Amino acid sequence: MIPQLNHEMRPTLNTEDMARGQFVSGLRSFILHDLAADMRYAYDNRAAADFASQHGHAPKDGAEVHKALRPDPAFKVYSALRVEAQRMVWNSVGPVVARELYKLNKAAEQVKDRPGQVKLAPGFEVPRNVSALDVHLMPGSYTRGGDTLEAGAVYDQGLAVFSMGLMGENLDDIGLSMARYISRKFRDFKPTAILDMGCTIGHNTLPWKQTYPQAKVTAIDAAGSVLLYGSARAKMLGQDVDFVQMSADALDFPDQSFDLVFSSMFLHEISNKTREKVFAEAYRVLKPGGLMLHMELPPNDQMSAFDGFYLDWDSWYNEEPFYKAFRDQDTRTICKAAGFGADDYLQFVVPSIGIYGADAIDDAIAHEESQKVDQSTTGRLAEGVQWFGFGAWKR
Amino acid sequence: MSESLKPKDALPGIYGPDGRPTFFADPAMDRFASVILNMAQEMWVQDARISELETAAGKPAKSAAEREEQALAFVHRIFAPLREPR
Repeated sequence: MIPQLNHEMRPTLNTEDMARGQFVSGLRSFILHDLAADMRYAYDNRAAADFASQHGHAPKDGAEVHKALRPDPAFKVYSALRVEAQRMVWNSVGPVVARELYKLNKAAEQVKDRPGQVKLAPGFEVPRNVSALDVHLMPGSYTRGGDTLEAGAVYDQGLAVFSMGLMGENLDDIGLSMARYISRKFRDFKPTAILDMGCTIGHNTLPWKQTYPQAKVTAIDAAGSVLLYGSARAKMLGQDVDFVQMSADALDFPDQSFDLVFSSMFLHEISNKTREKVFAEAYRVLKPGGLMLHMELPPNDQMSAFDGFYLDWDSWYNEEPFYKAFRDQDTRTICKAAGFGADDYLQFVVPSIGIYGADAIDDAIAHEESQKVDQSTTGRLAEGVQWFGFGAWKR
Repeated sequence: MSESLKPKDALPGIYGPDGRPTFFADPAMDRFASVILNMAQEMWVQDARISELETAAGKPAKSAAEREEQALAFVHRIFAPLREPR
């Protein structure tokens, strides 16, 4: 089910707009369930064996699975359709936003005095990983339309079509699931200052404010346009959050400012070099006893070669060039390199709260040993999705 | 996407001269796949317009959830030949 945005910047969709969204959502569902299953079948029944006969061994990692599948018709069909369906996501919402921008501006204007600030940095140079890529094949990416609401509106509405209802009514399933997990697993942990890095429109920021209403929540992103939209959206949804334009690898906050430093689906959009700086900065701004927590795609060394390849597909074909390099890293090692103790590392798999319900998260905490990372549902946007989280406590 | 931002471990030849991914031996096939998808989408849009007219003429309206279900069934019908033979 395509969620209808639950705030005043929800566009008025005509018959044609709705039909375009329905088609793309149905197409993506067909690709991600049926054609993905076909590709797996082709791998198991011919591509892996063909590769083994040529190389003397079965594909041992995602890169070799890619090599094995690349000539296979099932891979070609899946991939060609998936790339085009991704373009259609943005093409189905772009004209709606262009038509409705005046209305969105008016709605945002009406809530501007509600609690929560937005601070853009004049003259800020947006890094190339944001400005020079059409991330997720979204034309203009997070800087589309300059300092207007356009990028945020396209992203919000595009995500609603893209997610096929699997990211929740407010596209906040990741944030809700993560916040529920942390608040139930660590009941004594009561953060009063929370930072969300690479927040885009803040859809996964708001659940932290809902979970810890006393906390001051700050969300940052390098792209100003998504912050303008995110701030208005937060106000419309009744959440007092500050949105600030800033790079996560050069935080303009004093040492020991936050109890929780969070990110969701952010680390795979930056280079290894930038990621090192981000972790160092997270460590610096955390208070002792604070938690750095990232929701991300699970690492390759904890998945089978095929499941690793399946997720890494986006690195090659969805304009997310740093995705695989991140997933090839050992998450414990990168935390340790930033100064966190090896024993202070944590990782977990949390069931989607929207699909499984809040009680399932409590069950997952109670039976943590059964929550293996290496499941085809971990990180894969399909029925039964579960989210991977990792991070470390600062002593 | 500029050369410097392409993933370092990309297999050779997976992008065309315009930087877009290619999958078929003949690049025209990649473009043709886009045409087929566009046509199918336009067909669904026409279906929606007809459905709206039928509702205006007195036929019971379908809910958004029903239309989404119909769209999924439509996609399955149109693209069934792409399924892997088993």
